[in-house]
Amino acid sequence: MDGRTGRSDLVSGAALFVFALVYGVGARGLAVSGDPGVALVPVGLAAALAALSAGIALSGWRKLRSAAPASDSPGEEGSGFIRRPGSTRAWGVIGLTVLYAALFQALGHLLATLLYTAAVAERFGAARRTILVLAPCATLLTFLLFRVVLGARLPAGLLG
Amino acid sequence: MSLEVLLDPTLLLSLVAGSLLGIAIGAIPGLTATLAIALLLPLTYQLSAASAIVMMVGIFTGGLYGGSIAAIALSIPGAPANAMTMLDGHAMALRGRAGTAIGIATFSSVVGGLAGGVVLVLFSPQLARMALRFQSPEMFALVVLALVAVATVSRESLAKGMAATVIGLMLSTIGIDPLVPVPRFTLGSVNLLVGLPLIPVVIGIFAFTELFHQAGRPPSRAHAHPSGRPDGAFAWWPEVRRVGWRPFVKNSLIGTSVGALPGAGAAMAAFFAYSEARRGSPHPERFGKGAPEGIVAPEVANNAVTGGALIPLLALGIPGDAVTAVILGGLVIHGITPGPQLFTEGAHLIAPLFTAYFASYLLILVFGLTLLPLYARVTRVSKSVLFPAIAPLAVVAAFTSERTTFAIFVAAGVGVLGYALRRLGYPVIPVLLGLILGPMLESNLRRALILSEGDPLVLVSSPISVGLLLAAAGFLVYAVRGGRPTRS
Repeated sequence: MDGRTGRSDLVSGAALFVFALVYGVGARGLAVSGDPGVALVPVGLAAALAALSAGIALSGWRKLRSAAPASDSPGEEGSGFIRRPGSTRAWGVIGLTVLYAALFQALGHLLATLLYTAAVAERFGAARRTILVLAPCATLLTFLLFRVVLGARLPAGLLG
Repeated sequence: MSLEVLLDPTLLLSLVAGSLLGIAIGAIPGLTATLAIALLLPLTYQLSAASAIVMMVGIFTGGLYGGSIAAIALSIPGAPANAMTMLDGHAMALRGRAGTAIGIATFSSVVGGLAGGVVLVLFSPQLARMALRFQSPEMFALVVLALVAVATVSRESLAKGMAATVIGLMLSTIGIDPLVPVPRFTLGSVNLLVGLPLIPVVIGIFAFTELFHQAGRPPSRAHAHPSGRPDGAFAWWPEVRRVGWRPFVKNSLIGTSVGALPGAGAAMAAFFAYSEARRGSPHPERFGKGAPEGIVAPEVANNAVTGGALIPLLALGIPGDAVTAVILGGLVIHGITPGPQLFTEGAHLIAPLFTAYFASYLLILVFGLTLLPLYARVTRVSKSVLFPAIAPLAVVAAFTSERTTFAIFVAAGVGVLGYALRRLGYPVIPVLLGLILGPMLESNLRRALILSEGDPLVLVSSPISVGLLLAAAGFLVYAVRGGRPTRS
């Protein structure tokens, strides 16, 4: 357990450290924009995140070292959230959501929502019969709520 | 106080709708009052500012109460604040006394909520009056205290809580600088010139993070339900009489005190109240096995928090936790800026808010006791139906809030960030608070430095700012020494 936490702390700490450096470089660039105050808080935040992330990575490295003698098995659980069980399903839903956003205007609200709800329900392990009922109902619900009740303009897409 | 809420049909309808929606959503495992407000914010766009406030109050109080129903009936707390209620509430439900347990929780919630309301009415105007004297150094110190408090009470490690807060502050620096017209971190995007849109961010942090997190967990069938039908509608009353009035008073005090602290919250209040009730009980061995006192303590305390938590939000414009942060976002969208000025310039909104607060708890009493069978049915919905139904709602809510697909990408992007942080053991709530409080922190810091011609000692030039910064340091020392209270 310590090994897994240690590895995810090491990886997340290192990733945040790199992010802090990139953000810090961008923040320093703001200083030449006319008012040095513009960069004051961003530079401070970059320094704070760099220090905190270095601490997190260091603590992860220590945990990893202390756990190493106990678990030498090469097939141990992966470093971060990407290889944990269930992550494939989660990333699948993330991919579907991004795809839905990309096709929302082109396909239109009704068609895109119908397909998205069905695909997400399938990812959540819903039975086929449930999906056949749920997808049209959820689509209709969003349409009634946002278009009819709130009067929001939703893209008609292919059906328009 | 004003009876306008009760006499104006639109306001009354907003309150009833908010209360019912809050209870229904709060009763669904995994869905919280925060998420309910985040998802329903676009619904308030068509409403007047007063109606929107009244509806949000109804969702806030109803959502917190609704969480106890799922905790008792299913042993799945609707929110962390209801986790302690689950211990004795579910034990009682398993003995076929679910109705009694929910009845005790309903009555306790109402008592706690009303006590919190009294404190809110008495203290928020006083605090606001005092805050009118706050200058930039005091406001800066206050925001620092709120951010440190939130970071240190997070369940996860102190460093991770603080890192999450800094990430939120970094996100708040996107867009035009608050004092000088210079774009920062916009990556050349016109959409980002005004910063990250708040509602898609809120939807992303709460709805999408939860959606992705639940998708990563094993598929489930319908939740197991305890045996026995809800017992008599008033079977809870003899139990409440046996418990006596003292626990109600004591836990109301615990709840309101904890609620007024920035960064604390209903979960912490419930935890303290339950621990205190068991410690002070002549029969601690009965706790966890269906003791009515084990339901009364956390439910009185976590509902008393609602009044306490609204005090810093309304009087200072500082949200103490996630749900008040979302309410702050909702108020800002309606052109209302919480803070000392709200009690002078926006005084016409304060009276309906206070009245709605009290009325919402009376509605909880009515709905809680009359609609028990309906709520029991809602709690049985499988997550394979629930989350796929919520997903398009969240996407369309994000789209409607900005009327652009860019908002959907922002919500999804923030959801991915929240999911990644959560999986890696970082709390996500400090990210939101950092994002909301960031502009206030930065503009007050820079204004103070400009006025003092760059002298940083201006930040410790008044007793109030020194006191607030010392309190922030106290939180840090307490957390570093390992005394950080964990949320259940």
